Amino acid sequence: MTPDPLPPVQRRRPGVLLALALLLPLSLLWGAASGAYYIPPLEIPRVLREGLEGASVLLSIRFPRVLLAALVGGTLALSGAVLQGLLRTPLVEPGLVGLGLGAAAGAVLWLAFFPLAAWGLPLAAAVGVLGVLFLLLRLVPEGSEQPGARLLLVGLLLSSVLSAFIGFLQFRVGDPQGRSLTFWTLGGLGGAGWELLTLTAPLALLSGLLLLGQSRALNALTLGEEEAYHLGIAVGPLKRRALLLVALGVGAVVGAAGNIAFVGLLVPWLLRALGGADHRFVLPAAWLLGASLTVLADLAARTLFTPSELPVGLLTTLVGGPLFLYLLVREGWRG
Amino acid sequence: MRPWLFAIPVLLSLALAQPFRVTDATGREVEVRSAERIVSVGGSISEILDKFGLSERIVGRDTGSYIPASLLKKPDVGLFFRLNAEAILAQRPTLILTVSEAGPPPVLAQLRQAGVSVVLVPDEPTPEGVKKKIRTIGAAVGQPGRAEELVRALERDLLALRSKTRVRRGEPLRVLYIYPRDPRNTFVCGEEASGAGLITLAGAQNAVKTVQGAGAVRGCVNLTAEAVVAARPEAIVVPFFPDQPFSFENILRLPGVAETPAGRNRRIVAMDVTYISGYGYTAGRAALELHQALYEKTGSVRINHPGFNP
Repeated sequence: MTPDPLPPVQRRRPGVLLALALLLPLSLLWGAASGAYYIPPLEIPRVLREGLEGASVLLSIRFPRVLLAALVGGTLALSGAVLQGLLRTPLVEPGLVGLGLGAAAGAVLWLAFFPLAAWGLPLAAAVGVLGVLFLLLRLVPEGSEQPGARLLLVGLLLSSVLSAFIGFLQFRVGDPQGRSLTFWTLGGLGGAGWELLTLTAPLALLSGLLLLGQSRALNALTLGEEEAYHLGIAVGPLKRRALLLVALGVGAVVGAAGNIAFVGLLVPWLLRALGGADHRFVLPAAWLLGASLTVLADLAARTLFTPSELPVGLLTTLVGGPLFLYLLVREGWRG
Repeated sequence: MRPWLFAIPVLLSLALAQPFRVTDATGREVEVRSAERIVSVGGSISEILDKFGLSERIVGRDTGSYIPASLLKKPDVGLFFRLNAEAILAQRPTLILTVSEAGPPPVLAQLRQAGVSVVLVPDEPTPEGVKKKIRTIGAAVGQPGRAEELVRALERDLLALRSKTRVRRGEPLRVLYIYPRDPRNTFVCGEEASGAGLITLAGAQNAVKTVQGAGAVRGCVNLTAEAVVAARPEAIVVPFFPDQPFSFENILRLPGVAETPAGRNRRIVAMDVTYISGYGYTAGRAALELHQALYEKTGSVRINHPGFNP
């Protein structure tokens, strides 16, 4: 008895997941082993064990930064994949349709009123994301033609308005942490530390884990709302729940690292090309790949031009933007 | 060779090894365990360290520290407000001296966590502020005696300046301080900005007393062309950066400048940026030179830093 042969795409999935599960620790190690403060990579365990010079650089600066990069990238890619499933278009992602800047606007507003209450920042950012989501769904109603293109257009307009709004607020509001407009619009992980990580991780991980649990329901939704309803999925509550979780995740990571664009767009797209559109595969794989790529992008951002660092979103946009354009043209504006 | 001579290096190293305590600009009490390897952030701080004879101990500097010229060979750790923690720690400093506006704050926190003494040196742009700056640096590197010598030298310069400003009669000159940021905007600083402070010290008056309006950065703002004309400056003072090309023509082309008395008479004084806004130990001399350029010369004047000859 031989089992039914699976389609080749599905047969590839375990391999892809395994490769990604290996890629993440490798990227983390590479990221942790290199930086402006040079320590020979093979010496690192000894430096840590014996508490030599450089141990404090590793422990209080580099490790939290690498972990934060992974958390941010994973959350953004997963949120992108979920949004694409919910809105049934491959053209949306948090950074591009204004969600990231919504988060930034929420965070900056919070700073305007409570400059020293850092704990509220991720939540305020999440409220900002929800606000933008609400606007998007209002302005692009269900069943409009070419929802993807419309969402993109409306989202981009919202983005430019929001970034002007943030710039205007920063005109009037000082930030005790010295975050600039560039930080919000292009992202950066320079302020990473354990404090920021503990502030960000609970919300981001919670949102990620709960979203992973929605993969079956999202699969049903791709068949269409009607069919999902007949499969026993409560479509309305599912959407609301998933959007709320996305908002929490995106709010937390944008509050910590600004708006790093295109990770949430290209990662799910690449995975669907590799292993098909089943959310049970795409969601965990997106988290793993998004995390790895962001760790590597941040590594480039902080080592290419030592001692200064680039905003990491500059790199993701430089690589991601042209790729996205190519996709748009090649896919013939589907969605 | 007398035997007691051997005691000198021993005593010296003992003196260097003891921790110094210093209160920094934020009121924080900082313990400096060793001032052997210093990262100096801020041109005026580097200048003062050099004057103390400690330039060999500087293992890293910010982009704006170029005096003495030998500093240009030392590792550059970035701009003072965009510091990078790893690049600084890579120089294995034991002490980091920075201007109080250095940042971003999370990076300073990271440096403290890494166990390095970080001293934010007070730098109010006034003669008293300069003295405080010199004394704080002196305390941090264990050279209080040298600090007092420098303070006395500064007081002599200020006395020479006062003998000039006291005898001058008439309304003080109206001076506009322009910081050349980009060619399309006239970025002007009010009295409280560091470079502009030297104008009042030199016995002139700032044509825009205080900068009003949103978006003021450290007492400076983009002024509309009309506001530039309305300020009626009789002279313009601009900082220049030794590593960048500077032309008086570009200043005259800024919005509004050509229509002012200063623009019509080409009364522009360009001054080395560290000399005019660093408020190092040369502040007294700088104010004296600025006074002479404004009241005793005509046309466009360029003032170089006395300690900078690349």
